[in-house]
Amino acid sequence: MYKYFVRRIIWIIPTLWLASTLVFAMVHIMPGDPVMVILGSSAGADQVDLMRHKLGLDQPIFVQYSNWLCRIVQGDLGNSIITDQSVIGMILDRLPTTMTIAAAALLLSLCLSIPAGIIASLRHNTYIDYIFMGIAALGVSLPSFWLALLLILLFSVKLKMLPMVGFISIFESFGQGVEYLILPAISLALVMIAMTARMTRSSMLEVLREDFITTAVAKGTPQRLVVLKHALKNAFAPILTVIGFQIGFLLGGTVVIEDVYSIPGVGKLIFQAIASRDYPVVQGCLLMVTFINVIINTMIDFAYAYFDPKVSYGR
Amino acid sequence: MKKPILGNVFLLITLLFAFGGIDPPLAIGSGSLRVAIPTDLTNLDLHKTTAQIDNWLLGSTVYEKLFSYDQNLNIKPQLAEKYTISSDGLAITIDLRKGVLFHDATEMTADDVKFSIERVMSRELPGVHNTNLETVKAVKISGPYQVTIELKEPAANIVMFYLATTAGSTAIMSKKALEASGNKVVQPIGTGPYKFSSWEKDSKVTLERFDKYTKDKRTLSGDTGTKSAYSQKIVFMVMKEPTTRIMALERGDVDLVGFLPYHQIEELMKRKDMTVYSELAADTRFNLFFLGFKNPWLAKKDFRKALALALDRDDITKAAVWGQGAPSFSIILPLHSAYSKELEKMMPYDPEKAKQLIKSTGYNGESLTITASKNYSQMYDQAVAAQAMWAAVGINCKIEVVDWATVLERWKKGEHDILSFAMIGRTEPWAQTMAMSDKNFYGYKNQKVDDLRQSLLKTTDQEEINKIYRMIQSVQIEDVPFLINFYINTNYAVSPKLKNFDKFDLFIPRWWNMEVGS
Repeated sequence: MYKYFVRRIIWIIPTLWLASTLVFAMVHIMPGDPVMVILGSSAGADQVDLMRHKLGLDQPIFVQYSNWLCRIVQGDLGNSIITDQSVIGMILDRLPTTMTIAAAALLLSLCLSIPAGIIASLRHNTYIDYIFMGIAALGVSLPSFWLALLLILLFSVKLKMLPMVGFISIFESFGQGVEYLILPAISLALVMIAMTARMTRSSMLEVLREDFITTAVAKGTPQRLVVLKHALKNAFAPILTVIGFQIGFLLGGTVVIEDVYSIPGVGKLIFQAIASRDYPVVQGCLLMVTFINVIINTMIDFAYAYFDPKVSYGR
Repeated sequence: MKKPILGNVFLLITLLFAFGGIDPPLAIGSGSLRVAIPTDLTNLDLHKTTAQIDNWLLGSTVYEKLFSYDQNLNIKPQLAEKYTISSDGLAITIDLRKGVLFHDATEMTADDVKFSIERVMSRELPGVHNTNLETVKAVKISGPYQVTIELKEPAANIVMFYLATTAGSTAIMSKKALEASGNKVVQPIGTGPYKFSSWEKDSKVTLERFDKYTKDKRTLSGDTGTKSAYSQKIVFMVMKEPTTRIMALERGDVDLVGFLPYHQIEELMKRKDMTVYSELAADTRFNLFFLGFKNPWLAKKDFRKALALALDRDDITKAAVWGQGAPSFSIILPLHSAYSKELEKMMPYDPEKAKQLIKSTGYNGESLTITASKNYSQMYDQAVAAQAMWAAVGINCKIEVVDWATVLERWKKGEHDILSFAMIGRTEPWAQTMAMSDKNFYGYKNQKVDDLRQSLLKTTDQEEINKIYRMIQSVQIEDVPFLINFYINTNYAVSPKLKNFDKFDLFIPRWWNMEVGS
């Protein structure tokens, strides 16, 4: 087990190197020129050449890559070529916001989806199951930006119950922070609730049909214990995979929600950086998202051992 | 018994105000003017940015320039007191207003002006606007409050334009503050009526009233003259979604919204809870098609003329911006004094003539590519409309959709057939006509245009300048190096609480002299 953990952690380094190389290559293969984005549609040829030289974009691609890699090893992701700010600073400015919203959405999702999935599996093929799964299908199908606009229209414009756009950290003002979190968290969580509930239901249905569950019921084990201790624990490994996937999505893919609610998060930063071909920011952000995903996946791999007795890292 | 005279007078005044008999005078208040903006600032250093949003927020609030535009769009002194141009046209001597304070409470002197202009010209630091002032030979301090700009050639009118223009701003910055921060703008220090307070990235930018602002005593006119900052703060709130911006105005979260979605403007104009402006500005954006001269068909003048004659610019304007613009083929912006309606008529919508011209070129249905981006819907929509109009006269086009950064790259490399594009207009057609000069990217060359542009440098007589611009426009009509389709209206939706909003005729509104009521 210990050896597996160490091996898994050491593998993070080549994974990140490979990811960083791919990110660098993809970013530079993309058509589009950051110099033209900076200078805009009024640019003259002289200005373009001068700016290209100043940004070091006239150097061979291998020189640019080695310079970038050397800086990363030293913990420096460089500066934005559009705003001239430090990339690490730009990410760290936005990461707490994204993490707060991600955590709120995840919490909401887990609190609703797992009980819904369990109930639907226990009431399999009843009206409750149909209603829950119908709502889940709706949640997966609704475009999140449309749902976000509807929520704003109802709760902010008509009922004036919640703020419309913006973000206040819960560490600055807890009450206000929570108010600003509610709508974005619901908009983000709905899709996740739907996915996790469906996964919980199908995974639970599979486990509930197993012999050891029948045995536990025959031995007179209370239903609460059968469901929570025996069935859910064994059904949790695939649910965990989905949750891990969702965390990765939340840390980089929330751009639509960030746009609608004007939340200064990482997703928006990545999107803007791609649109303006801000190479250092795109590379830095994607590297950060990759790093977090690798860490989360490693932790989920470790957690499998707890939830699934069939998984043994000793062998 | 003593009559309560004062009380009655007070009551009378209150009733007059309350029932709308007269408007109360504006007062220096503690309110905040809240403005919804579609994108965040990109850079605090106006010498280093070409982004319109940076100039929109900071160009006339935090910073001021030596010159700006009055209500009639004439260049007038702003931080300058007066100026003279030498008889040979090789020097502009500028006397500065005395006692003007920067936000760090230091006084603006000739030192700061020289420093700022040289900073813009520097090929080392900003590198964005340096070629604008390439005709400047030197900036010399000829007194504590006087600078002399020496020119390499008599180009005073062009230099004055660049000193006054908001885009590519030559904002006057504090030398002392910039030297203290290693020539980096960390905290913008200007002389404007508002000082920079904070920037929460992707969220909001807050400016605060500068209490020691040195008012220009001259009469307010356009962007020049006396400015009063009635609101304590201006808060620019980033809201990318147009629907969100409108809902925020409806809810009372913001007082002014710019960059309205074109398809909603007509509907919004009918509403009573907001006032909507949609009018042409003197430096408005315009949409066009660049034509790649590497394509053998597009290299033929008659074929290009046929393309132009086949376009119904009224319909393109309706399709692309829902009619919120002025259809035009003119390289001169419609609000400029050189604009000629007669010249405009010389490129009409004439599909029959287009068909004849196409036949004469021997074109046989070969496919052309229109490259367009959906990042700006009007660029894609004009491509769709034009594709149908060209198909109607027998020109076969397909649309290739790429993102905006790719459009810019193709434009720079001249790697396109027909490129759906938009450009930022300038108050002076000098900048627009650059696209016809030998500095263009798409391959058009005409010595006559270069000679005409050169002759523009040698005169300051507006009538003469206008005449030259019209001659350049005649070449544009004759050669059809590109196809201009329309100029886009600038638009705002304003809350009824906002008093004295004056949109002015420039892309950037006046952020001062208005007050947010209760």
